Amino acid sequence: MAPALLLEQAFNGVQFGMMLFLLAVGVTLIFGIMNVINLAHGSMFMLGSYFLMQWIDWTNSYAAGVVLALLGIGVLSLLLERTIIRPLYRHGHLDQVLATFGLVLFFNELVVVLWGRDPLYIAIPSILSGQVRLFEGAAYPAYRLAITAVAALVGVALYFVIAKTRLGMLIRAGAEKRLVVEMMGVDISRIYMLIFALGGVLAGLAGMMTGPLLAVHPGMGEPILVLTLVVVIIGGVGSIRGALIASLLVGVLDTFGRVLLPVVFGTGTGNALSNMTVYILMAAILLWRPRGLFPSHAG
Amino acid sequence: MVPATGRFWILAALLLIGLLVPLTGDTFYIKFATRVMIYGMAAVAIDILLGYAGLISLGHAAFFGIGAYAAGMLTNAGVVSAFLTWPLAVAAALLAALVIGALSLRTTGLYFIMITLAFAQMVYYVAQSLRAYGGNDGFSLVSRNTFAGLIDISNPVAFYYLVLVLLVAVVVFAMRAMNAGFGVVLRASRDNSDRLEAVGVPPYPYRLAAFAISGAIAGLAGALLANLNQYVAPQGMLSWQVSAELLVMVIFGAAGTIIGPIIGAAIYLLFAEILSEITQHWMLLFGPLLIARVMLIKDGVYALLLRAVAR
Amino acid sequence: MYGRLCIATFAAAALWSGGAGAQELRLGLLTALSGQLSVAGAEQKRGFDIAVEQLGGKIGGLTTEIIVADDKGDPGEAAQAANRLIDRDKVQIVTGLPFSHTMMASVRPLLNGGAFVVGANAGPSTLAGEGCHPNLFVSSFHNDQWDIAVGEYMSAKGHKRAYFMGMDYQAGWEHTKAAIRGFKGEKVAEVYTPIKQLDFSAELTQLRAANPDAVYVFYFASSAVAFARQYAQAGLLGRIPLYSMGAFSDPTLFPAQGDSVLGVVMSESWNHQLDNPANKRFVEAYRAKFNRDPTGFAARQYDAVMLIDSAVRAVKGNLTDQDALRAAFRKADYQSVRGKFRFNTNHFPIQDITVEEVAKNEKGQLYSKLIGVAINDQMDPDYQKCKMPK
Repeated sequence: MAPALLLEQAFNGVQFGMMLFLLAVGVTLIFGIMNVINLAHGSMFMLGSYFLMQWIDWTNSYAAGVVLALLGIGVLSLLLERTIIRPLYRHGHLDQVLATFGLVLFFNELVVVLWGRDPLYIAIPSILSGQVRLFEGAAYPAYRLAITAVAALVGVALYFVIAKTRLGMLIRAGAEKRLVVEMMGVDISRIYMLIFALGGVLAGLAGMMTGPLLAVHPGMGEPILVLTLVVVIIGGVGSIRGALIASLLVGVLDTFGRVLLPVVFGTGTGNALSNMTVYILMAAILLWRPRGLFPSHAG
Repeated sequence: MVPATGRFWILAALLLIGLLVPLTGDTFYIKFATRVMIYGMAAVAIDILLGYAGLISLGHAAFFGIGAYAAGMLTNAGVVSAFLTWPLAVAAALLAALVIGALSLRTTGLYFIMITLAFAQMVYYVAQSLRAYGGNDGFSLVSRNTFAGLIDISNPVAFYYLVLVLLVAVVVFAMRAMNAGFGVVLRASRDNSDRLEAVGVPPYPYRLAAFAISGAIAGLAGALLANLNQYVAPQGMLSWQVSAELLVMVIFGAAGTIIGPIIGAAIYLLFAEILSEITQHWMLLFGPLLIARVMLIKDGVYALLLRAVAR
Repeated sequence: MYGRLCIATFAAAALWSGGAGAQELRLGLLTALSGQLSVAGAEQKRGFDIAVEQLGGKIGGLTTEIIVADDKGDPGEAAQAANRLIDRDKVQIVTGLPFSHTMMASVRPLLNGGAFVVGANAGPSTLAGEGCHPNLFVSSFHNDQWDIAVGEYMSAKGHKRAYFMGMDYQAGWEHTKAAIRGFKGEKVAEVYTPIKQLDFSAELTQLRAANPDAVYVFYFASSAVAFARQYAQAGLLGRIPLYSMGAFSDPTLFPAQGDSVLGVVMSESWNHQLDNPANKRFVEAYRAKFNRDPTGFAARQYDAVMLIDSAVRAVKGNLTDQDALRAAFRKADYQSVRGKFRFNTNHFPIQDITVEEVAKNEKGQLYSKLIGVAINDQMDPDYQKCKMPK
């Protein structure tokens, strides 16, 4: 493979990885700090896409659509936390799986009722619809570059919040020792609400950015949810740094696997192996480090 | 603990219902009840792990599917006798469970859930790449398995009773094993594995044995389903959604009771069947139903039944 | 409206499963009404409904009970739905069966249960060859038929090096390999992507680097939307001509695909512009009801109902005489929306294959412009492998 091609595929891998990271942050924080398994995370991804589509349609403005969709997902997340998730804190993981699986089924069908089954479409804002010449011979879609940049910015902001602010300190402390936080006189349920809403909004943001790239359709959250769980596990539950590294690892390996394995092993075996890449990676890492790359104390 | 008499009456009632279903004389209901029992058997397999050893496997579709694929492949290769095919299908699932279990049991908690999922996904993609067996489309069995002329399972009633007998056998086996020393150690390994180790009993071999037995039972259920549908495909037998569905059945019915998962399977399939006849959008009703089970019934439908009978 | 009717039918069927009288037709429509492939299933249902409406609800002149069954796009569900149609609903004829994987799972139980099956979309090659059956009629097409034509058309257009991509499953392999067989030039690559894959960034990067003269792809529904849009985003639309088969882009997908499919050339066995009275009647009725052009899924399902109508009419409603009914099906004595149509010895069609291009009309809306007939009276490649019992 030529170096330029290699670099371009690396861009593809990083873009995919950053998208996974946006989803993984929520899952890893919600599990690591709140000790809740939330399968409905994929639904926020899907609803992000649908909300954006609907609000652009109503307001005729991409910017307004983005703001309203983010707000919408945020409000929905808060409502969910209050009504469904909060009672689940007292239950075991199994009940959490069952209830949030119920949410997944509900949202998938709700989307069908509201918007129908046909795949729908979000236009790419016209400034981003072209290509950027990365280097000689490689015209890279501008939109893909833009979403990688947004995801990276979110990552930096997140790092800043968690490393430098009082809230971040509480979150870090919450992940390690719930009691300590409570002893400091902080209302832990406030922090839980905030974390849940943050996770939901980030998943929604990933969905909003993915919508114009793929097709917006019912059930689009599930395949990505499974991959997100894989990322969280590889990174170590509760660890944002782990989630970032695992996301990029999965994104890049998956991209190169899809390109190279069929060439090396022929289409049949190669395709099977490339489908399995991330799962083999996860199994191997867990056999080597049974609590993921960056084990945190919770989980 | 509930008085044993209450449980006895529920079991008796279930068995009676089981024996009487074919009297409806309606092939559709008989086949439906057969399917319920097959999924119930797979759910019992999961319950051995979940309810007693406290291990949540999100990878049992692998053993279910391996059983089904083994039965289908052997049948199409000319090994039609169930006396050969079914034990081999069970053995294949058992072997896979030993390997996957041996590796997976090195992890715990959420990590265990996900590593079992990973292995199951690998099996799924292997099956999907088998072009000689239809790849993602799957393949049909040229015939159902035979019993040297003793039973003809293409007769739905005969097949129904065969599955019923096997299910009862699995239930009796599971109950005895879980009440015996094996089950006691498993429960101890779930509740306090450190103390277990302190008294010189390493939990690992017991967990592995439970995993293997569980996989073998799921494999038997898979072989039965292959015969019922006369069709085997990755999507409906090996996908992670199947693993999730089986888990949902167990939790719905009540984990750690062996009987509960069968009731859970019946309710799950019955609701899916009835609701999907009422509306195309049946998931809109079914989703909240699952949430309601979590919020309203603490430990599953079977436990609710037991309490009702005890009163 | 049919939704309600179908519940009523279910209730009636449950109460009344005692067996059908000779003067009543129990017709099953087995299709994907939920799940990801239901876009096509819904179209089949629309075509079905229009045909039933035009026949006044009486197919072949018989009082008709219609039982709609959902295969959910899943083989296991399809097998169960087939058993349900046979065991509970006692259907005599079943149509629909939109996709090869669900068709392969459901066709045996239906045939073994004594029903006639009229496939209205999928055409897997095994069913055309060794797997053919006296009571199975596939009135739509053979998977290879369309794509051999588009492959040949690519050569005729002067393309020397072509890149082939498809979905990694049976129908994907059959369609793609047929296109490769039809194409005379050099095959640059033959790539199969997982069925559920929607992000083609890595594959498109490879494709652009290979710089072929033309590209053939086999995608439909969501994957076709995603592929078309990403092909355009990568700046390849208009630079490297894109070819496919009819399900890649149709009026159900136009809203989501937008201008990203402009100029894509596809092969089909039907087009809404085909000039014959049956087609005009269908297209007008469809437009009046749904306010857009019909798709091939709807047209083929409409056609299949008209075929069933002709066969039942020919035996004067006597459905117990299976030999007569089979002979009537073989004759296919009806006005097809495709114009010329007849069955081969394997009960697959001999038909013209058309080529169409996605274009814009004067109002700026996308439509499938008929370019012309690529192959006349095409037979599928498997019919000689079929040993049809007389």
